[in-house]
Amino acid sequence: MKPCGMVLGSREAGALDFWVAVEEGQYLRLDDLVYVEFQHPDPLKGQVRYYGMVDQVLKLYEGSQFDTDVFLANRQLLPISLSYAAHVKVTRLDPEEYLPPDPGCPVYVARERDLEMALYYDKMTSEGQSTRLPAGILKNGEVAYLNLEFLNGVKGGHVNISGISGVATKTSYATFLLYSLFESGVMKDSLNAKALVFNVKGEDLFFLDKPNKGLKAEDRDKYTALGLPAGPFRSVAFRAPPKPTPGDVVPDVESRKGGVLPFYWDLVQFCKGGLLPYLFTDRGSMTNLGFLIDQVTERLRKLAADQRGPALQVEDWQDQQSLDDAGVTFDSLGKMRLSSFGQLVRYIEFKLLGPEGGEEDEKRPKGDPRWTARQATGTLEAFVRRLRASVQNVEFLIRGDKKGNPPDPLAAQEQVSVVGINRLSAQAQMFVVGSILREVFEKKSAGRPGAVFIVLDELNKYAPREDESPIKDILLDIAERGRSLGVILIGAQQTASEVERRVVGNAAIRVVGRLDAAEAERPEYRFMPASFRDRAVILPQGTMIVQQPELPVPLPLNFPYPAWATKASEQNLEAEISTEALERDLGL
Amino acid sequence: MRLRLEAWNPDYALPQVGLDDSSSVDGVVTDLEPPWQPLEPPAQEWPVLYFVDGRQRIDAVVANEHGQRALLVTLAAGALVRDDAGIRLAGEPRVERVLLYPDGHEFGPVEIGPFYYRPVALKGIHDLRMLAAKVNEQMRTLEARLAQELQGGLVVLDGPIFVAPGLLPRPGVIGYAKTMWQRYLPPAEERILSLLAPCQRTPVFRIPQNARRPLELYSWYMRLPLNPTAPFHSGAALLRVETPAGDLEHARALADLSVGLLCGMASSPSRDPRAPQNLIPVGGLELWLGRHMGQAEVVRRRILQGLFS
Repeated sequence: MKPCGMVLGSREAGALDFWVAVEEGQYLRLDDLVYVEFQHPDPLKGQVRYYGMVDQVLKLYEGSQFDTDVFLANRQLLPISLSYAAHVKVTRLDPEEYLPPDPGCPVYVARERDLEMALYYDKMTSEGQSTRLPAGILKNGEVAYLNLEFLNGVKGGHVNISGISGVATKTSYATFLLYSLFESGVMKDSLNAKALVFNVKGEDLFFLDKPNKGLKAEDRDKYTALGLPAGPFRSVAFRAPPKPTPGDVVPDVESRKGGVLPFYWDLVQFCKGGLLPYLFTDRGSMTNLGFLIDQVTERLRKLAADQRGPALQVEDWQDQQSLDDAGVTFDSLGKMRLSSFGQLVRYIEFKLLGPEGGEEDEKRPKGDPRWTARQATGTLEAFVRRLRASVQNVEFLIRGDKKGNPPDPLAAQEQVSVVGINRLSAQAQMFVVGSILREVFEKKSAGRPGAVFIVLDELNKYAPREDESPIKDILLDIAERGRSLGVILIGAQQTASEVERRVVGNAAIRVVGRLDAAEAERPEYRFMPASFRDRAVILPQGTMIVQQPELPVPLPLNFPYPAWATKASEQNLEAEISTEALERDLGL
Repeated sequence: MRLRLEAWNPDYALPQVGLDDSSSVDGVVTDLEPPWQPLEPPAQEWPVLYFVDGRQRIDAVVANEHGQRALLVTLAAGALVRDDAGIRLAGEPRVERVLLYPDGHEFGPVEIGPFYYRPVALKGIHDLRMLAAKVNEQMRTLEARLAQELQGGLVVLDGPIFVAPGLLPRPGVIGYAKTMWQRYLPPAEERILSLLAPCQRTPVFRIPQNARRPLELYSWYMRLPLNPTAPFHSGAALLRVETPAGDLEHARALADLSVGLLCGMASSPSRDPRAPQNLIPVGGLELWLGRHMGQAEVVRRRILQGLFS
């Protein structure tokens, strides 16, 4: 093969990086992979080969002293000599002998086997089986692989994606990774694997099962190159919250007509599951608030212990307001049936603060001492205030009129569960995400087989660097222990600097799309060499920088346009009018 | 008293040294292109051009066991070609390393690492200074030989036309003198020099052959553009161009062409200490030649290593 250049001698050549003078007629670009081979000074050791990636390319007029020489050269008055140099960062030494290459050593573009060596692809095997997970396409057209073992929890787990929203295509890349996991055949037990995808913005993810009619031939070629079928996800369940109108259980989805199931909890599930803490995001704001939340959660759990729901029965309270509103709901045993979240809140209020209209000046609360846990009235009132404020946000999600039907991605028939939280208030989003994650994590802790991949955008909201919240605790649990349990978080956020360090830090695979210039300078992105940080500011859509543990340099790659629709207008309607689709949508 | 600057940096050879009224050359013919007044030729298309230049460097002075001295010299000559395709090196530069010594002394070839110094005995040398003065001649010979091999086009020599022993100048060549060591025009005619505006030339005149240079020449003065003009004295931008005498019409055409050519390539005092006479392409060529000669310190160190290892 023809060399593309030589190690140059006018700048220092080191064992970890060196410069290449590019020969006329040849070229090297950023991210190109090269290798240089030279004789070890000890003849017994034979040839040494260094693999590396180009991370800087320069051209200049050699010997030109003045900036204006370029005009003279252009007028053909001054002869010039063009220098084309590329800086190479060494990724691998074979054998591991840290020698500086000699100036004049020929440098070759790494292709095929050499490229695999340069990117450690040869190490991506386990028990004789390849663990190369297609992750995109490199600039030179070759496939970029991730080592599956750093994604499925064997050696590492979790993915963290950063980037400006709208440009960085974080969600698209996360879904592409999922698609690759399920369709590439690299993951052996991919049929047992599940995915839980939260749809945070818009309704982009509600068409994962529809082919994208905008997919061009060249996009299909990319899928072929990656060894993936160019089609939609094959097995997806769509869940959305019901419309917030009272009594309604129609899923609140605008663009997708059929095939979406509503989800909600009933009061008994709420109490038994101990989901109350997920309604409180400012647990740390008062000293005793957290304690009281735990106390009430525990009381509710006891209360619901033997009940089946959906309504919660209580013995020691009459809801005067409900009686006034709707007539009698005492059952034959004289128990009161709580059939809405609002009622439950009023019941808790009664248990904590006593009946309404009590003496204002009394210091001690009138509430049930088993519930109040000797907390001061101020704390109790703060607790009730918060709870009352949440009623409007979540009453259609936590209800006593219908049997609860929360998403359970582990038990679902479908492989992927999309849970829409885009139309929920911030508090309701917290509640849904927290409750579902807790459930999944508990089940996995109990030893349920098969990996589960959780895609969650806006991590900065759920695991902020500064505040404490129960959902942050769950995410931390997942980040720190989830990998061994098979719970893998594919998290994303605009700015990694605002997310809890341990959540980002535990991700084996880091992905960066277009970054804000100020953000790119933060220490969270120091895993990338400076040239990559500079580039992150101008990355176009569909280009990501991917860092994985085995590789000393990040890989800039493109991933193909989604083969599944990301909005209603992209659905391929022809493919849609099939018997199968009709059956699915009509639930036949 | 109002003073004006000479354009060249005084670190280089001083341009005009005819300080007193030294006599002009005898036998110069000035009535070839009457009347004797400045001419301003129209702009012309440029033909294929070659620029030939050389560089020299005394690497070391060595002495043999008898205390006789010799010079180790590196010479380089190269050519640029400018045609429709741009401006670039015409082939590889010639680099020669020679050992110059007075005839009769005992010196053989010197080989140091990759350098081979070819011995050249010179006649009529009495001291080292004379020996050093001969270095330029060696370089001009190398240049002349290189110019001889270039095919077609017009060769522009950096310096006056040099008559190398046994080598006649090729047709289609002009040389130019950047420094005015010698006065050629009689005093009456010489006054025209102060009347020349930038990009004007004098009529062609003929210089007879003499002992130093056995070649009859046509020659003309011209004034190069020099910007800014104000600080420099009137003689600062003068250039004397010459071509071997032959067909007069041909020489006049060359003279007309040379004005546009050399004015277009004149350098600026902001970038060249020998502006405007050191032409831009020649400045670039010199840089290239310098690189092919090797760094002086490195060469000197190799000589040291070679002689004492």
